[in-house]
This record gives sequence, C-alpha cells and structure tokens, in this order.
Amino acid sequence: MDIFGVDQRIVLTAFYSGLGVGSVYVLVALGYNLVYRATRVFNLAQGDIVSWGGLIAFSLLVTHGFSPLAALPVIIGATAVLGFGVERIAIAPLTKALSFGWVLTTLGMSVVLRNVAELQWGPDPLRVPAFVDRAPISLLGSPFRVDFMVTIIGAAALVALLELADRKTIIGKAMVATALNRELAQLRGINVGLLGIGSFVVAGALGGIAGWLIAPITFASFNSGVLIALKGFLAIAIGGWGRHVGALAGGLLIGVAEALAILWIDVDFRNLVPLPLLAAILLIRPQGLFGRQVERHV
Amino acid sequence: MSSASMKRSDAGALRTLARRVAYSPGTGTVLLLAVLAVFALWPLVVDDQLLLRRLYVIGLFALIAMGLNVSLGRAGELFLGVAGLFAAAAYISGALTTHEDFGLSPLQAAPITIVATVVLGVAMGLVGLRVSAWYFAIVTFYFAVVIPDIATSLDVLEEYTGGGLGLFGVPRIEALGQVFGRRETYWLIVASIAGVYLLTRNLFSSPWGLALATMRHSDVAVQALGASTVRAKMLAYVFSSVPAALAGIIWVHTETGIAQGNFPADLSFLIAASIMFGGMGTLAGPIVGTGILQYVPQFFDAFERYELIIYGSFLIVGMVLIPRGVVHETMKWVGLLRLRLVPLAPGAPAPASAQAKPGAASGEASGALLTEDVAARLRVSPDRAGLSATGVSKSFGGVAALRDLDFEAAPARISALIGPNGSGKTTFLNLVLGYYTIDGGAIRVDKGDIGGLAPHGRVRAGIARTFQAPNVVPELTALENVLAGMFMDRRATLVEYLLQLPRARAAGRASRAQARALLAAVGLEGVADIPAAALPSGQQRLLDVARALATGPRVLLLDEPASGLSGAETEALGRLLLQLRELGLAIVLVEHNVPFVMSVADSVTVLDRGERIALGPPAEVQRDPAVIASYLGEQFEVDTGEPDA
Repeated sequence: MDIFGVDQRIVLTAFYSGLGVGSVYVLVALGYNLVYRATRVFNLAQGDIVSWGGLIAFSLLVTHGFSPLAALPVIIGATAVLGFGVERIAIAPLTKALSFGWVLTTLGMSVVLRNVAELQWGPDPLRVPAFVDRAPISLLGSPFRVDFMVTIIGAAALVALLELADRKTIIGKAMVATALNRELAQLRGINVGLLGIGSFVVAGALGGIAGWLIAPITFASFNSGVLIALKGFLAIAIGGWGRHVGALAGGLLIGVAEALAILWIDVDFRNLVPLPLLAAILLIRPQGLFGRQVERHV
Repeated sequence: MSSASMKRSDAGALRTLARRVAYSPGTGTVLLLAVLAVFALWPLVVDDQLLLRRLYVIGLFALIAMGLNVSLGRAGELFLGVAGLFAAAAYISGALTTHEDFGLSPLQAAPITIVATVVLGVAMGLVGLRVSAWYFAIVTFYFAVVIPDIATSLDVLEEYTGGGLGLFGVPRIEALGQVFGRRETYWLIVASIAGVYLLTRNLFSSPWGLALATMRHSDVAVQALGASTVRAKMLAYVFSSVPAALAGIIWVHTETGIAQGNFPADLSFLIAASIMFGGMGTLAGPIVGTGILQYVPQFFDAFERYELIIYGSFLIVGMVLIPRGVVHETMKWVGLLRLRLVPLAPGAPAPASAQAKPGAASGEASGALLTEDVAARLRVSPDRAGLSATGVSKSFGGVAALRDLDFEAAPARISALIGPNGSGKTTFLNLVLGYYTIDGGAIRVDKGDIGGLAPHGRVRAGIARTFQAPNVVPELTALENVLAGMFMDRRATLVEYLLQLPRARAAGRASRAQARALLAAVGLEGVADIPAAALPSGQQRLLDVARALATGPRVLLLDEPASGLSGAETEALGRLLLQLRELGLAIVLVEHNVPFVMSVADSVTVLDRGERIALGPPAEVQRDPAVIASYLGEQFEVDTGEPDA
C-alpha cells in the first residue's frame, strides 16, 4: 500500500529512523532543560559539546580501536568534564545581578571549543561506525535499526527516571524548587551553586552521548553539533519549558516530522520542518505541549 | 573696572561655560557626531582599501546592533530575529532589482524592502506576545536561522532568490549620477549610523522610550503607566527591523549577490554579544561594542590557527571583567574625572553619577507642598463617583481569597483597607487593576464597569496604583521615572518626538517642569537626577507615589506606602494625602501602620480571611470587638494625635 506515493514499508522505516534521530534531540533537550532549571541560562556551547562527543567517539572507536562499550564511559567522562569547564569558566565568574552576560561567555566558549575541535580533528566530516553491529529487526514488516531501538528506549527511560527523580528524590525536588524561585530555594538551604555545576556536568554528558549516537548518521565534525543543538532548543519550545516529558515529545515529534519530510518532499526541507510545528504550537498552546501556565502574581 | 577683576570674571564665565558643556546632555551627541565625521572624512585623505573594507563590515554590523539595542538593550526583549531580517532584506532587495517581473532600481526597491522587512519583523515579534522571554529568544533565533533556508529551499522562491546556487548580478546602488563604489557605500553607512543614532536618542528621551525602559523592568510596570505592552513591543520591533533592513539593502547591493552560507547561524548571538560588550541600552554601546568585537580579531592574526580560540577567550574574559560593558564602564570614569576637572557649583543638583545620601533630601523640613500648577493638574472634577466594588469574589484553586466584598472609595475621601496578612487586601488591588480575573461581582469607576478593560485600560480610566515593592525603574533617574508616569499626557505624536519638532520640544519642557514639581511634592526634588536604584527604599516608595500621581489619576490605590518610611517621611506623606483628598481624588489606602491609617483615613474597612468584618470611621472601627480580636489585638492603643481619640 502507498502513502502519498511512497510504499508504506518505506514510510514506516522513515518513521523508525525519525524516532531514533528524535531521541538524540531529546538527549540534547534534556541537557538544556536541566541547565535552564538550575541556572536560567541557555548554554550556547551545548552544540559544540555534542560535536565533541562525536569526535571523541571517532578517536576512540576508529583511531584507537575501542569497543563501543569501552568507549561510552570515556565519552561520558570527557564531555562531563567539558560541561564542568563551561560552568566554571563561563558561568561561575559572572555577577549574578546581570542577567544577560551568559550570552557572551557561553558564545565565547562555543567559539573556543569549535576551533579547538577543528585544530584537533580537522575540518572534514569523519565517519563513525554505529555502536550496534547487528542486522535490523523487522517490526510491522519494516526494518528497525537496533541502534535506533536502543537510543529510543534509552531516551524514554532517562525521561522517566528524571520525572521520577523530580517527584521522589531530594535532589529532584531541590531542582524543581530552584526552577520556581532561586532566592527562595537558597533560603531553604538548597545549594543552588552546586546544583548549577551538577546540571552542567549532566548536560555535558548527555550532549556527549547524543554526539556519539548521532555521529554514525550525520558524520562527526567540528561543527556538526550546531544544528542538533538547535533541534534540541526547538524540542523544548514545542514540548514546554522545563518539562522532561515535553523534551521527549518535542524531540520525537521533530525527528519524525523531519524524516517524513525528507521522504516526501526534499532533503533541503530538514531545517524547515519544525517551523509549521512551532507555529501550530504557538497558536494553540503557547506554553508548549506539556508546559504549565500560572496566573501572574504581582 | 580693574584688569584683575576683569580676569576674575572672565575666569568665572569660562568656568560656567565649561560646567555647562561638561554637564549638558547634548555634549555626548556632539562628540559622537564629531567622531562619525572623522570616520566619514578619512577615506578622502588616506587610501587604505583594506581598512575601508573592514569598516564597511563593522558599520553594517553596528547598524543591525543599534536596531537590536532598542529591543534588547532598552526594552529587555531578546529579539534575536534581526539577523534573519538582515538576510530577508538582502533577498527581497536582491529579487526586486534582478528579477524581470520587477526590474526596479535599488533606490526604488528600498522603501518596499524596508516595509516588507518591518512587516516580517513585527510578525516575528507577535510571537513574543504569547510566550515568555526565553521562549521568545529561541523562537526568534530559529526564525533567523530558517529565513535564509526558506529563501534557498522553497521551489516557489527559487526563481527570485536563485535557490541553492545563489543570487548573482545584483545591481549597485546608483544615486546623484554615481554608481556606488566601496567609498560611497561606506559614506552611506556612516550617514545611516548617524541617522539611526539621532532617531534612537530622540526615541529614548520620548514618553515611548521611557515606556520601553520601563518594560525592561516588567510588563506590569508598563501597564501601570497606561501604556499598552503590545504597542510598546511592536514599536521596539519596528525600531529593530529598520536598521537591519538598511544593512541588508546596502550589503546586497555592494556584494552584488548572495551565496549560500552568507548568513551564519550564530550571527544573531554575535550581534547581541556586541551590544552587551558595548553597554546594553546605551546609545553608543552597539557602535563601540561592534567596533571592538569586529576589529580586535585582526590583532590575533599573528596567532594564525589559534586566532578564533583567542577571540573566544577574549569574549569570556571581557564579559567577566567589565560585565556592564565598555560604555557604562567608561562613563563611570568620565563622570568621576569630570567632577574632578569641572567641579559643580555649590548648591547645584548632584549629577546622576553621585551617590544619594539617604534622608538628605527627604522633605523633612519642606512640608512637601503641591504647587498651584501641579494641584491644577491633579484636581478631579466634583461630579466624579470614585471607585465602587460590589460582591467581589476571587478564589485560587478552591481557596477563597475574597468573598462577596463590597467596597466604596468616594471622591475626596481616604478609604483605608486594613487586615492581617492574607486577608485579601492585595488580591483586591490586583482585581481592581485587572491583573487577576474576577470570579464574581463588579468593579466600577465613575459608575462605569471596568471589568472588560485590560490593565493599561484601567489606568487610562483613571486608576493609579503604587506597589508593595516600589514600581520604579532602577536604571532611570527619579525625574525620568516620573516622566515615564506622564506617558498618557503625550502632547506630540511619536514622529514629532523622533524628529524633535517644536511641539515635541515644548511638550518635553512642560513635562519636565511638571515632573520636577511632582518630585518636590513628595520631597524628592534634591534627588531628581539620581538613578532610582541608588535611592534608599523609603525614597523609592515616595517616588512610586509621584509616578502614580503623574498618570493624573481619579482613583489612587496605595499599597503600603508608609512601610520603610522614616517618621518625618510618613508625616509628610500624610500631609500629601490630605492635600490630594482636598483635590478630589478617591484614595484607597492599604496599610499596616495602624496609627498612620487612623490619623488620615476617613473610613476604614477591615478584612479578615477574605471577608469584611468592619466598616466605619477610624474611631469606631478601632473599638470594634471583632477587629480587636482578629487584627488589632487586645493590647492595642492608638495615638492618632487627634483630641477625640
């Protein structure tokens, strides 16, 4: 059976790969969410951490012949350190009262990371092998790549874990409190500074994993993370502020829409795909799919 | 006259002149225009094509940055779409001058391009009306990224934009019988910068400009001026779009084409960074910031491959070392140096850079009197009916904050509203101002139901309010804060203000005189030129009262105006309220300072847990057993200073 002139099995395959790529966006979006909730900052260097994740994966897997399972902790460790470094260098020294300074400092970090990466790995895209070397599994008559399956399940599990942490653990509750009101959270004895560092570290690790997962599909290069970071941005804009479930829904939605647009229209349209989604959300539900709206207090 | 005394008077005149020059607000403008003139003239003397090329790029970026500075720096709106507007203008003007359907010359295409770009900019901005600040930043950033993508990937546009191959053969600008080369283009850019600078300067000092500065502080504060936040934002977006359009037009007709990759994704952030580096909301900031951030990298050329790495580090270090930007930092030193070189005459008002001395000018002795002029402005005609609320109810998530409240504030009366914390006083004020939607009942001003009005519409209907946390804009001086309050009293159109036509100049002078008189009325005349942030909290509260009065209200709501005031300041405030009562204002006083309330109020309403438990003259209410039980307490003894108390 054809759907808009394309065989339904191919549509289904595109749908699967959309979910796979979408869950990479979810990881990036989760990183933004964590950092934003703890610090009210958008780390403009997040995209470069994603690039670094892919490039480090290349060095480990291709140059040094690591097995994927051995490479993963190294990638996580290295990008977590990058996240830590960004917080210490670009965020910590800023005076609290001046709210926009981080634009400049994280932009500076981004420029530095990108150019160091270019010096280290060169300007050309590098091919990184997929981390699962198995034949696709057939689902509803269409092949489903195993690495996509793992990514999707991993992203969904992570979202569930974070949502659960918000409700059940003391750190999660501290995060929620800090997101609502930093000063009040501080008065409650929450160490918001430490929470900020922690969020950057976790976001760095998530960015690194995302970079590693996406590298087999898009290749790894010093600037490959920028567009992925933008999709992560948009995932939360569509899904709703500060909500992990929103990041999941937004990321998957963008991933699937992109895959289908490439299939039905043209590969050039990849970056335009979120536009109608975003427009629809803004018109119907400006707080995002899962965002909450509260009456303004004066 | 002896020659010695001549010399002395000469020196005196010279000193006065120096003082006038050094402290005149026009001096900065003259200086900047002089610098621009030097920039305009040097290509006639020196032939340096490389520098010319460099300054051309800096000038274009500076133009875009000056536009963004109105939204970002002045109004606090992270409108990152400007880089997209720059691209859009380039494509539109390129298409209009190359495609055979149009066949326009660059100059003919310019007005169409500017209008189209502004429409696009405002459409982008419309999004901002529905979403929070960061959301807005991301969405407009994304728009900036996709605009070049749209231009190159949509099949319907390919014919006009050249699609992925790029656009070629765009004609150069031709005017005054001359095809514009590098040098002419450069002059055009310098002239555009001068023009945008002057317009921005006039905008910033106009009522609209003050409303934009207030918006950076909060939307609520803008509404309290009687200004529509929607219109204020639209204005900021228009002001940000026009320079981006100009830059796009000049760029495309100089490069004579567009190639893919001409508009990098982080261009928007780079422009925003220039403003922050230069000094947010300052007039020269975007020019200085762009100049430094674009010019400095060449010094790192020697480091070759490490050039950009050093540049990125420079951004971080620069922001950490001078977080307020180059212009703010320089002005601080210039201000100190100026005080040193050209000391103020004794008795002259302190300059804005000086620190306020707490209590120094708080009207302790003056008695804070309204001048005739101000009294005439504030007088309310006797046929007004004041504020009346009937059956007002409001609950939050099932918890009733107000239950069936009746409240009357008659003209020429001070009606106090007291009660323990959480009794619903502030909720009531928020309902009157329209920040909360009412669950039941009606609120009327002069017998007209205001239920359907937006917050700023209610201010226009004659309600003004002061806030528990004083609603003053910290960056603006005391005088500017009061001037902002006079927003509704604009006596010239925006265009007149922008061009500083006679009517706008006259209106500006009249407003400043009135604002000074209002400041004097609350005892703040001595701190008129000091930023509100530098004032102690008591004076900020009085400034909030002056700002509220500047809107010319018929109903004045005061939310704990006496808290944080000294004894003398409280007394002066009491005298001012009595004067305002004489002028016919209906005054609603929410206050915890019970002796103060008892001494000035004509009637007192007591709230407890959202319900009215007493209403009557002060003497009666303070003997009411229910009031004593719930609020005043058994031990309470009142000293109202009146014989019958």
